[in-house]
Amino acid sequence: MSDNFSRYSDSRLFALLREEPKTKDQAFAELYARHSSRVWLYCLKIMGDRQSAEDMFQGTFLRFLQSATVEREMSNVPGFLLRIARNLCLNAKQKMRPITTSLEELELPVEEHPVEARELERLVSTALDLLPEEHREAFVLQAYNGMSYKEIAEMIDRPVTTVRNRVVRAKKKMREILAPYLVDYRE
Amino acid sequence: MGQNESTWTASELVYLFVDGEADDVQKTQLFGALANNSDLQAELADAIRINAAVRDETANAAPPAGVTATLFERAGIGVAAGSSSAPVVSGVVGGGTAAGVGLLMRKFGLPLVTGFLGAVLALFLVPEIGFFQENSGGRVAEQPRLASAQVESSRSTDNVQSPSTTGPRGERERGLKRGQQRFGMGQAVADRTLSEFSTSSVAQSSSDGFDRVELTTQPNGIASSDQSSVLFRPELLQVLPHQAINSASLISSTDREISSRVPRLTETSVSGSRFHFSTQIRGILGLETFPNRSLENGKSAPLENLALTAFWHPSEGHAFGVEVGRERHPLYVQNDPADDSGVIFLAINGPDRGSLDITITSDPNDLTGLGNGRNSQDLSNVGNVANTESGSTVASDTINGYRLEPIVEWVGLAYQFKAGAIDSRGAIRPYVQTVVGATQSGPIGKATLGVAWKPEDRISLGVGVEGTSLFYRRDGEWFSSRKVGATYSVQVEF
Repeated sequence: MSDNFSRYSDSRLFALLREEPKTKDQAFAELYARHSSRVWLYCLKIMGDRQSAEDMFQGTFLRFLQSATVEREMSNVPGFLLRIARNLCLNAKQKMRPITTSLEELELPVEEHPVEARELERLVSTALDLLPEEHREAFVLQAYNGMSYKEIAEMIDRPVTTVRNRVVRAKKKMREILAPYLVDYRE
Repeated sequence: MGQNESTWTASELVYLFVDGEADDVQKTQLFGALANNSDLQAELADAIRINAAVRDETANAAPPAGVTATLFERAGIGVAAGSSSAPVVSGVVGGGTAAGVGLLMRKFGLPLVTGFLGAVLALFLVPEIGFFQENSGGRVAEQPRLASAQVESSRSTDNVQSPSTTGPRGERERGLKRGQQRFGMGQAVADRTLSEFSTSSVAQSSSDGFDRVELTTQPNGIASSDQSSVLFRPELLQVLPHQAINSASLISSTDREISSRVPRLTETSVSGSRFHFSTQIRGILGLETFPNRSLENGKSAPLENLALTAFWHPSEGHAFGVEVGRERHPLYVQNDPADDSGVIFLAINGPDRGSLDITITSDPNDLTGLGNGRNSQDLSNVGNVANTESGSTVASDTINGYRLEPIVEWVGLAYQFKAGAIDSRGAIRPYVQTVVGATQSGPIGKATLGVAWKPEDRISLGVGVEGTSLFYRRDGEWFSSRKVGATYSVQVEF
């Protein structure tokens, strides 16, 4: 049964979410298997802490499941999921007290030896917190979620040129933050 | 950096190129600049490294198993994520030979049949178990699912206003105080039935896919959030809190609009035990006694080696109960060849552990019984006898062993602790169970370590290893006999 579901398109699986419970469960599990990683990464990187990310991640899929009770055309399931996640995350962050961290305050580990690849992943994640919200989101969607500038523009309802600016600025800022560590790689 | 694409600097083109967004003209421009600019070359190398680091993290990213399990439980989804790779429960004897199966059936057949009959009996005795619920007219036990069918749809979020939303804030707060329910952030309201709420409606927005469910307070003012999202479960209505609605300092039209469209979904009590009582039927298979004696085991009669426990579950994972049970408890009787007094001294579990009111002399009629359990007054009626017939004269210079298997009956207090699930579906949980009780001859203690599998909402099937210590007193001293066995159990919650 599950093998059949793995061959279905996202749109077909989304339609099956309105079927009887067993079919719905299988369809949801298949969609979850396909798209949960990117939704998880988005929530994790945007929220910045694991607990909040878990709340937003679960809320996203619960919303998604709830939305499937209404018949509608669904051509882009991952985009729809990320849009729900984005709305949840942004609203949650609006309610949070803004936390500002300066570059000087940020405690990145002092490495005596060249940083390893895994450490660079961690450094990038940490440096994300220093980016302005809009730039961080653009960076996450482009780099972590693999979306093109055009796809991001459609998702956040902004011109492509704005998205380009945000992504490029985010990456330049990221490099500026990580410059002391990237030197190790060059040596 | 301007909005016009012609204004991109060489440095900025580096990132367009790395992201695969640069066109041919921009690539040419970038490569020209790279040729004589070491700083730009370094920037390109750094950009590629950062991208690679992100790509590596992306490849390894997956939501934690616990988050997935919680989500599926909250959503009422009955299959694990990635259903094609879901664990498959296979038979214990899968792949075994027919002879092996026969051996297992002979060894475990009776206990399994007994356990099955006990489970069937329990199912009939407890009317609200899912299998019979629809026929008995009880509530239909269906998997929890998101509310949708019974609510009225509307496309406008602005047109849906509950009376309490439009009322004065003070009145709303008084309502909350009356009900002693203040829906704080991260707090879920459970254990409340749907009947506590009068009406509900839902507003759905196609633009963001969000649904909103509104609940209004009943006239008796028990309490409710004026705007909350809900999940339905068979017995519980999960009311998910709204931060802005319920925090007076945050209430404003803007916040309310935002929060009404995007509630924080939090549920804290779904994983908690929804049932407060349970009964457990436990079968016990004797495996070994200490110290070991290589004597033939006796045959168990039907309904021997069973325990029945009634549990109360005050909180998730913990249960306290009362247990009654009966079990063959092997006692070993052995003479001491070093004793040359002319009286064969028979001891329980070896010469160094003291006897249990049994003495056999050269006169077979001079026999006192075993003061432990039933079937104990006459050696001719007790269990198996090795090396010699019961009641006969035994030589004092040889070791003679008897295995006595009186049935010990006990009444005791039980405690059970179930740990968190160890599988992605949350169906398999390790557990520890202890019993302290009294028998005819002295106190008894039991401890079980096992795993319980919950194939259905109310039923747990368990297997485990159980240790028993039976204490008895003779001549002012305490002695003990110990046993290790395997257990199988059926536990039904209600």
